[in-house]
Amino acid sequence: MLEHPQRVDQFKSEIAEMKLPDQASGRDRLLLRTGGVLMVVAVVLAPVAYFVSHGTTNALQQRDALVLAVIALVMAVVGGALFLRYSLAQFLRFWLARLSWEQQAQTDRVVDAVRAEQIDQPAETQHQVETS
Amino acid sequence: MTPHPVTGPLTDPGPEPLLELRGLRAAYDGIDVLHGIDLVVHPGRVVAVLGPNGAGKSTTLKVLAGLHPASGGDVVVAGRRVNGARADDLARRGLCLIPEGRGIFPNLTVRENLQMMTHRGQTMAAVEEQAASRFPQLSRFMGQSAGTLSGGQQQMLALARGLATDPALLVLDELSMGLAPIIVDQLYETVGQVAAEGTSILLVEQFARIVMDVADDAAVMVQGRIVATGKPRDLEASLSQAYLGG
Repeated sequence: MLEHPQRVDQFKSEIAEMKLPDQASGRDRLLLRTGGVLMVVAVVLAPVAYFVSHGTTNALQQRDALVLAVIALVMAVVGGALFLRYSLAQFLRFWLARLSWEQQAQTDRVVDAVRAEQIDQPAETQHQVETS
Repeated sequence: MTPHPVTGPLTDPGPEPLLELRGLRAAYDGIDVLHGIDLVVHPGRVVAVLGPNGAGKSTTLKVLAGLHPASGGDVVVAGRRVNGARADDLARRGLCLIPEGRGIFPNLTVRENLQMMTHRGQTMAAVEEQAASRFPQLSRFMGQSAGTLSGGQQQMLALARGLATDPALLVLDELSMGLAPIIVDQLYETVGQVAAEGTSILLVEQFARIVMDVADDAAVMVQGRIVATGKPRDLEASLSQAYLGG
């Protein structure tokens, strides 16, 4: 026998209000941050490679610096792609939500206008009958 | 009533379930340990999950309490799918898990252990009073380190701590583990009182006999699957079979 249903109701309402982490958006956020970090690291790595190369006449070290610079370039491209992909996805999701909200509001306005027209119309018809 | 093998959930006509597991799956390091668990706990009911060691009982509890991720299926609490919810979020709202091994802080005193459970807004005095009324033994050890208590007293403390949070759903993982039968009887007497007050309880045990007087429904779990449901009394044969590997 349930003796304190109010506790159950409270539990239900608290669970209903509980914020749940969206695992998909968590992954998106992680990849977005990864993209950002990769770009920042690449920006740091490229000048380092330049100075390493510039500061020596040893061809082997210069080749190492070259490889470092290429890695920085790849990191910048991959990071940029990740950042663009996931920031764009976020923006498009927001844009889609806004679009659907605006469409809904527009539909509501049209429906209201049509209803108002339907209410007005019988009154006008009545008026025309009386004048004729 | 004879036990019947099931693949579906425990059913009971009545209000919306407080907890529902639908095809729950879980894995450790990619190895599946739960293979689609269906279980229902209705408000005010006591449901026991019985089964041998390694059946996946504790994992089921960990998943529903948010301590281990589900690899499939749904955990529905109070009508809402809560897969991925944080354990502390669920606990703060009233899903209280008393884990296997009690989960008390052995280096803190009994009083300090109880103090940890005032997060739902109860005063310390109220928590202590409730603990003392349910377990009068505990009041003598308020200033003593919890780690120095006997196993039974530690379990009493764990239960008192759990009850101090005014749980809507109490989840008990092998309350009887390592305890003398007389202590187990005492503990289950308290569980029976809590159940009679209307708190929904999901408990895990290895033996049906222990929960016979407390549980309304029971399910036998073997190798990550529910193999039978019914009244605890009726499930003893299924459970014996499970122990014998039948």
